This record gives sequence, C-alpha cells and structure tokens, in this order.
Amino acid sequence: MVTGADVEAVIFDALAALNAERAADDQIEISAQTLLFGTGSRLDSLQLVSLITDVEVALNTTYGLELSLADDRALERAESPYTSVATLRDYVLELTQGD
Amino acid sequence: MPEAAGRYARRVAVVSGARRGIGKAIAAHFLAEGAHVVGFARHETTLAHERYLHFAVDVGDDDAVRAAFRTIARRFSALDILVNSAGVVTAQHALLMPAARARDMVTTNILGTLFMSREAAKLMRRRKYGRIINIGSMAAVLEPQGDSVYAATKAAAATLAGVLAKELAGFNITCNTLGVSAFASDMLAQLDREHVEAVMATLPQPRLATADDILNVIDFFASEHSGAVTAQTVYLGGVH
Repeated sequence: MVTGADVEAVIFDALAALNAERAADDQIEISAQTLLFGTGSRLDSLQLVSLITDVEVALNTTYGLELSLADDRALERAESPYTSVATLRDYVLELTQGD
Repeated sequence: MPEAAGRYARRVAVVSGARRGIGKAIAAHFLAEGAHVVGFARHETTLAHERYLHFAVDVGDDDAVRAAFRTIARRFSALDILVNSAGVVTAQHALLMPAARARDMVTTNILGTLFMSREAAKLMRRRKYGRIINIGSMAAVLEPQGDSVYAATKAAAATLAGVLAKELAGFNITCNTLGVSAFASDMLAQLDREHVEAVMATLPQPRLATADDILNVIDFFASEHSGAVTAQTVYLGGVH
C-alpha cells in the first residue's frame, strides 16, 4: 500500500526534475507546502503539465498504480488537487483507496 | 535485435488505423525505413514484421489507449512519431444520419485523435522531441453533401493539431495535418463512386492520391529537419 510519504517522495522527485531545468537562482522550493497551481505558484502551465505527467508515470512504474490524475473528479473539485504538493498527495491517496 | 538502416532507423513510430488503407501504408513505409512501429487498430494486425508491435485497441477507448501506452513506455525509452490515421466514415444525408454512426465518427475521428496525441506527447516530452501527424480529409474544406459529420470531424482534427501545436511547442513537438484527397481503400469503397468522382472533378488534380503522394508529405512532416513546421495542413490534389 502506497503511503503519503511515498507519494510525497514521487512529487518531490518530479519537482527536482523541474528544478534541473531551472537556473540556480530560480529553484522551486521542495516541500509539502509548495504551491503548484494558482496564486503563489512558480510553475508555468507547461511545468505543471510536466509535473503531473511525471507523477503519473512514476506512480505506475514504481508502485504499479494506474491512475489518471487529470480525470473528471480532479476537474470538478472546488479546490484543485493541483494546488500544492500536499493537496496533490492527498488526491493521489484518495484515488488509490478507490483503485 | 540489430538496428536497421534507413530514414527512420532507431525511431519509434505509433500509427493508428494500421490494419488497412493509409495507416497500413504508412506503417509499412516506416518499417521499410528502419523504424520500430507500434500499430493500433480495432482488430488484429495484417502486418508481420520483427520491428512491429500491434495493439488491437479502439482509439476512442480512453482507458484502453492509456493501458497500451503504458506498455509502449515500458518497451521503448521514448516515442518520436505519431500518425493519427484511424478514422471511420458514414456518408449519409444529415436528415438520415443515425445517431450511433455520428457518435462513432466523433469518438474515433476526434476523441481518438486527442487520446492518442495526449498519451504520445507524454512519451515524446521525455526527450523533448516529437512529430504528431493527423490524417485529414478534403471533406473538411470541400464540405461535400453527405459528409456533414465526417467533414466536421476532420475539420476538428486539423483544429486539434493547431491547438496542440501551441500547447506542445515547449516540448519541441510539432503537430500537423495531411489532408488526403481520396485514396483507394476500404473506406473509399464504402462511398458512392459517382459521388466521389463528382467531388474529385472539382479539384485541380482530379485523381486519386497515391501512396507515394501521401508518404512524401508524411516524410516531410516527420523529418527531424521539420522542427519549424507546425500547425500546418497540407492538402493533396490542389484542395483549397
């Protein structure tokens, strides 16, 4: 069973991959509170798409999870699951419980 | 397996609608030019080749497309080319168009193109390189009677390529459309011959497209030198 720490580690890896393409003085903080989407986020739309895709792929290759993080449920939420690392982590865990 | 020589050596290409017609011709061309080819079709393959992998998948089935691409991701490190050639047509006066046939065209020709492009782009972005080519139709421009839904879906596929060209430009993925006039195929055989000939007669080149006509443009769009060619539609036969 994948844990919150497992999911967080996957998201952190995806953020690290984004940072690898950013300048040294333009690094994104890597923490559970890091904002990914909306006001305060430092990711542009392409980087957010990359991050979500990387997380989907890593969850599949590492844990065998076949999740779609951009399904109807994600789009129907009042608060986007992509708002922060913590909300994305919680959304993944929610999906795994229904998986 | 030793790598083959050819224009597409070491490239990985996905072709939908690979079982027959234009898709099969394109898949066979990529194989002859050294590519690894992954074909999609609703039914089992009619191609046999050591570098050919087939998925009997309906491109309009989102879950099945996702599952197939997960397998592709495990098998290949990246994906270079996608040709969206899967398509269905029902020629019928709009007043007589059955809903199920209309829905099938929308699902396969538009949503199938989207699902395939979305999953392909996820793999292409790994290496920040990709070529997505949609197979369009003269019907999108000529708007012939009887092709209401088919023409609309093919126009949508070209529009889809235009939008994806913008969304995927940052990943160095190009998206273009080849608008085929008419090609001798099972799909063409479903249509009324006199009707097709009447439409063709309005073209500067009133003849069927050949496989060579089609592959020439495919090669152009798929070329690694065509990185600046995106959001374009090329029609055969002088359609405009």
